[in-house]
Amino acid sequence: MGHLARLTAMARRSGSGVRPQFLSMSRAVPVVEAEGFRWEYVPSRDDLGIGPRRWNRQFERRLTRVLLRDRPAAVVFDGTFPYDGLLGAIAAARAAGVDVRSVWSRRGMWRPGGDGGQLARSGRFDLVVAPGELAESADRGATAGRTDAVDVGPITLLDADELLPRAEAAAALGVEPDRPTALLTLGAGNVRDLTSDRQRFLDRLLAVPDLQVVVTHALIADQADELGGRVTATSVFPISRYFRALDFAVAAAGYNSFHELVGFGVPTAFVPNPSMPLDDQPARARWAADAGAALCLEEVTPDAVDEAVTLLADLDGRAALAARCREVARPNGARDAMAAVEDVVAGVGLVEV
Amino acid sequence: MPAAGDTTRGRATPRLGPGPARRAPGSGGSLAVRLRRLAGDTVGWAFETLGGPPPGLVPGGGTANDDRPVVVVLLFGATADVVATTAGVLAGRLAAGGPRAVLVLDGPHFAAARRAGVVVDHVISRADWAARGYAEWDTYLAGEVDRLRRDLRTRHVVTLPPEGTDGMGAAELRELLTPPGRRPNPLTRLWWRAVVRVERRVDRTSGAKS
Repeated sequence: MGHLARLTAMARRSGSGVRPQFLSMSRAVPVVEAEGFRWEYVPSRDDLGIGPRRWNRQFERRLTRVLLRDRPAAVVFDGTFPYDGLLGAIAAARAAGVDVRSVWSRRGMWRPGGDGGQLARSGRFDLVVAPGELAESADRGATAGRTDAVDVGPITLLDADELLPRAEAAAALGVEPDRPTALLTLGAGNVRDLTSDRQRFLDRLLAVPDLQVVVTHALIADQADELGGRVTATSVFPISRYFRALDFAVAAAGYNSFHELVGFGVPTAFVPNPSMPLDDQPARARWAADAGAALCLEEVTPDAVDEAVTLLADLDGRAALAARCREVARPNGARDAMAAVEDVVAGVGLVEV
Repeated sequence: MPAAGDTTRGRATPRLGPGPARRAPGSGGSLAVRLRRLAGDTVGWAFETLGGPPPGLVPGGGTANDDRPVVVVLLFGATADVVATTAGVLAGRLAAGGPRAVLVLDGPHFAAARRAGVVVDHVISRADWAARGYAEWDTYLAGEVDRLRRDLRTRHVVTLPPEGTDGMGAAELRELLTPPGRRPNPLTRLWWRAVVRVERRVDRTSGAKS
């Protein structure tokens, strides 16, 4: 859901004359309705299970119809590979007289060697916006060092002043505010089997006296687990709104969760998923550990889990991590990203290719 | 720590300036790139035009049932439970040798259908369409159904009530989902299968990623 969260973050900071609407291949796209945005779902190639040629042709026709119908001032694409169908639809809409600008929100931290030719498509956008990375000094991917994008700060859906107070957040999550609480969120489970990792953490977390554990059921996960006792399952979105109910977290190191947890000062043990093709989670998590702002568990062994939970269960250990988080945090870049898009629409922010 | 609004950290900021869009997406690239794109488009057109229903239509790209007819099932105004139940029934029909159903929803319960292993698509609901200030939802829907028929190479469209398949007997369901008329003749089906084989091979070997 990373792309959806980043685009929603931008959309909710748009100017008063802008009316954002969403067209997404994420089955979680209806969540944007809570922000007052209209949405449409388009099945991805994977969801349809059909080949790329057919899918791109179908997608191009479909998106072209949408563009001709809604005549948007800009299309903002967030992803790591601008589809042929996307580019074709924008070209077709322009040929039909729609004055639409194109923007690529191009997150960095690709795994080394991850460029399959898509970076060459950057020049076919009016603007490339690069959502910031706290760990950019560790970025060894194909986008590192490129000068063709407008760089903004790390994009998070919420700002710190939008987080609920502890008591309110705890009530929403169904936990007691005066007891210690940990968040366990290892991703949607769609990329690798996380069951054993999650169970290992759960067992160790529940060995901490009085600790409550909140486990996310990601909205796009295809399975739900049976949980009970001191464990609460939640599918609230965005979970960051409830961070003040948490004392620490164990989380995957995807863009959104990483920047929200570090940005909002939640002591965290990151468990990077090494199999994300264009998201170098291990490098991101290692950077945070090297900076003293988080823990990084590349291998979920019993010893590593025990060591991490022991540190996180300790008040002083958590305080040290939270203090470093505050030092490395950067302001939310969503407003700047949206401003860049609006400048392009206004004709004052076009990138000289 | 950089100040709020700092947009230049780490990398150089590209030059910004007024002016029209410089290049239309899709029109860029060298002659070789454009020729490659044209060739790809031609191949895609050939598969769509010469072949039958797209191979696959199994979430996640599992084994295709290439000889099965495709049926578009419209289910509007359904709850998550109804979507889950109906998708389960449609998946069961497929497993029992029935058609490949594409479930079209006007609401948000896509994950429920996907969990059942059924392909799901979306149209804007009548209420949302009106709220957007558009007129003639029926015309929009007709256009979307035409799109689905074309993309999926089928003429069989079924509309379920908001209760889905609830209360339908097996015989009624079978009759509803079975396309009217005769199945394509064996030669046509043989041809479609051959096209599918070529399409899959080309998709595999051409490095098409997007």
